[in-house]
Amino acid sequence: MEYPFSIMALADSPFRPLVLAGSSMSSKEIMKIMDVYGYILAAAEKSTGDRPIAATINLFTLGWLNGVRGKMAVQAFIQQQPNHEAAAVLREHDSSFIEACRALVKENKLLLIPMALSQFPLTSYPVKEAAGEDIKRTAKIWQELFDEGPPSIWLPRGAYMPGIDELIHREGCQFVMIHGEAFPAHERDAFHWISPHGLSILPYEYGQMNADHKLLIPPVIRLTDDNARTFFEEIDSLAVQESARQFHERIIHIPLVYERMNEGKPLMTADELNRCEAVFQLKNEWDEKAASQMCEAGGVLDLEWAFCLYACLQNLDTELESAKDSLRYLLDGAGKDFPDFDYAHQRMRLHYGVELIPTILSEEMDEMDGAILMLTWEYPPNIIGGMARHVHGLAEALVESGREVIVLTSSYQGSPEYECVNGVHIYRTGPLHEGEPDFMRRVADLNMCLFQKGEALIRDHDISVIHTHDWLTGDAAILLADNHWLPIVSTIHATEHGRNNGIHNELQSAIAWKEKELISISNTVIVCSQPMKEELRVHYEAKRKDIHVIPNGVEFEEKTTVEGRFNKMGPFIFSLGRMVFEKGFQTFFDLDLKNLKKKNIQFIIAGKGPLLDEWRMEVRKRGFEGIIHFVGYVSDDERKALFQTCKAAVFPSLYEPFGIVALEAMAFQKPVIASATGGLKSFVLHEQTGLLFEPGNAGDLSKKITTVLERPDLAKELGANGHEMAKALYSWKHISEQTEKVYDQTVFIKKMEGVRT
Amino acid sequence: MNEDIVCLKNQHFTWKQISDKLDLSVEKVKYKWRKSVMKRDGMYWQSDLNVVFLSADRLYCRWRVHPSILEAATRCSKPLNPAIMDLRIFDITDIYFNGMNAHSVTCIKVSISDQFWTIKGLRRNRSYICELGFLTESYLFFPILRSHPVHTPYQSSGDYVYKMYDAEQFHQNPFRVPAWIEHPDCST
Repeated sequence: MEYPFSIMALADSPFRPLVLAGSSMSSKEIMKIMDVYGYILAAAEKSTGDRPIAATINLFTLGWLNGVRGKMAVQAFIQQQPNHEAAAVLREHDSSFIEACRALVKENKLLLIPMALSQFPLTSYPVKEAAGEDIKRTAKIWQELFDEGPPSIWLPRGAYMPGIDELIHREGCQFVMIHGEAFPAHERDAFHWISPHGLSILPYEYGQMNADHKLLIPPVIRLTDDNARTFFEEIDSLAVQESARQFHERIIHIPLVYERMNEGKPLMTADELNRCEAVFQLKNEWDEKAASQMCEAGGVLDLEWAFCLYACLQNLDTELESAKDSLRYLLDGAGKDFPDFDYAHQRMRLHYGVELIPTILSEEMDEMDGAILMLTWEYPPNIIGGMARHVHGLAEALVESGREVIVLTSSYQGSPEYECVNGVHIYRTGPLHEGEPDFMRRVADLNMCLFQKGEALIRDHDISVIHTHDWLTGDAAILLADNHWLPIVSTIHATEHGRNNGIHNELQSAIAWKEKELISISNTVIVCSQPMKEELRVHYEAKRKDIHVIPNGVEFEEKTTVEGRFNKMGPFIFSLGRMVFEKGFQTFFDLDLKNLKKKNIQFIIAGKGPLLDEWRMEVRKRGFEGIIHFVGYVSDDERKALFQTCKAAVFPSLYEPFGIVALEAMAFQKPVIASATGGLKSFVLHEQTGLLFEPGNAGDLSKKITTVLERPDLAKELGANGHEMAKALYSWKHISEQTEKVYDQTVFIKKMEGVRT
Repeated sequence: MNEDIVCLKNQHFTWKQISDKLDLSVEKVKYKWRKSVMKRDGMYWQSDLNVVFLSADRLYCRWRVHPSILEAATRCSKPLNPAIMDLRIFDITDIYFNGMNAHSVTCIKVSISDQFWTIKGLRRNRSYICELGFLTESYLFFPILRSHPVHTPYQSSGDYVYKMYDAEQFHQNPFRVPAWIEHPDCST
């Protein structure tokens, strides 16, 4: 048949994210990826043929390139290798690999095909439904990356049997490639082959780079970093030109076939299957309950599992262990009803580069049509606390992504009743008695005003959801929602219980009651952190509530000065964490303090925990009182001040599944020195967004601290790069995207309630 | 609610019938049923026997037998040796297999603790099915689990012509049952 491409590159080199995580931008591993994937782009751009060139790619690699880390790697690559042929293509597309792919696909210069995600032969899954799930997962990731289904799915090791055609066809694919040995040699390129389930079949053969091709069918060339450049250079001579032949259709049934079957080679070995058995068993470790607990974080469990299988099959032992740890950590949280979404999202965004929206959202739900009515106590320029900044950032990001946002907030002297700032419609009203000394009465007054204005707004606008921030505007939200049968989403920024460490007087009790009422009536509750979710569940009877954690994450605030106990400290290195062994603070005792003393540097280590007293004693015992300070608990403001004024932040963890504090330090533009372990390694890129040292190795840590102190230019650069990384992970855009999903889900569920009643 | 589902299921109502009766989606019914059963039996897992090709002439068999299934089987028929199980591979090419009419059968003794086995020497273009069971005191095979059938590759790639008529028929009317063995996930 006529092929929809002129040549195919197969990029199936093992993908080793851990090696990438621990390496600098100029490392061989990253160069290998950029050579293979970059030359595919460059060849597609350069090719002058009448058909696009095709490439079969590893979705884990492509996802990684689309993730935060991958994007930084691509940017660094362009800077360091400005003359690389791929750099020019990438520059044209905003330094984004995925954008370059999309553009070339759109221009019909490139046809990309994913390899089935786990690269496990689809005929060999010894577990029922696993092959079907692999195909579905592959198509779903593709859909997210390219906004359309994959044109085909490459069969690992060419393994095909009847029924695989149907599974692939179901995902909207147009063709499947089956190894040439399934066809009689003289007929291979004589027909347009069609499978019984109606999928076009393209026979393939592997070709050599330097062979004199007399093939009528486009060859498949296995691309490595060694031959990628030649592929690029020779692309026009390698490509097979379109023929003007007519092909008859022929339906073919093929029982089982795989590459090199007729040479007597095995498809798999029993050893391989036995090795993978442990990964298959892992599937038994979670049930629907765990999956539904994690549903907010999309398909993270599935992805982790798929990667475990991939790593196991490719013999990537360290990668396998790390992915297993990650999966078990997520399952552990889900099993205890406190899934760690921060970590899950971090894994998705850094490691896999996709978000995999939960099935209910993607398959059954439309985006809501109407506007968001956002109720808030304060909105800029009227700023009292952090809430104004939060609502402002969120509202503008929502408008940016195409949503209509109406903010209804309190007025202040001289404020306009209505204004539209950066696309956000802002209405201001009440309270009528601004001077009312009784706080609760003033709040009630405001709510009455907001309710009345809200009624008018709902009449005039198509509102789909009411989003209130904290209890202060809760009454108005509840009344409006009740009157108009609208869903309420409420963000609980802080609780009265948390603010006062308990409820101690009548006012606090009244506020707590209002909070409870709002939480209980809200259709969906958003909180900013996992501990906050826990607090609502324990102290606010919200056990059964749908609570989503959307991290406020890292704040990108201007400098604030805080009076406090650390004001008079000299230059210092800051560290923060729970005082437990795995945080690795004991490493500080073995630092090369003699040398560091010359730099006049001190160490402030903040946090509480079981080892705090023991470590304080150790400091005294060793006579380090003037240098190392275990300061215990620090308030939010103190923490910010410490981050702002420190020379560098050190995170010496021996084990660290996520490491959000390091991201926080990055937000303050501070150079981060972290141990090369777990989550830290995934965003602290050595010599780019920070420095890595061997976990527990005090000598190595001393060297890295000295480097930062002696090279202020480098320190500044690391801080700036880290800042960019933190921004990418915890930007308003990201937060608004997650909030939008919550809106859509809430509106959808509310609608369904309507159908039932 | 969960008890109702278990009760209806025990009365052999289909998932669809239960879902209509209780006004729940089929998925929800299944989920609630699984939860109830799990609660009753502790962490329950499905016994199964799966076979996959290692090559054109080798088959990898993998099984898991839940102790409760084994116990039930033992009650039905006393094993000759409870420590030994019988893995059988039947050649069922072009027949409606009824347990007695296989073209050939190969018996392999496996230990009760074994969980996989590789079978070698399959012939080309034949259909096979595996069963796991034990020999009874009367030396008869008592099957407990059956695998999905598999079909080995053609002797030669040109042999596709023998199935071409069936393939065309199916292509024209995909609602009929295919005249060949499909991937097990295809029917789920």
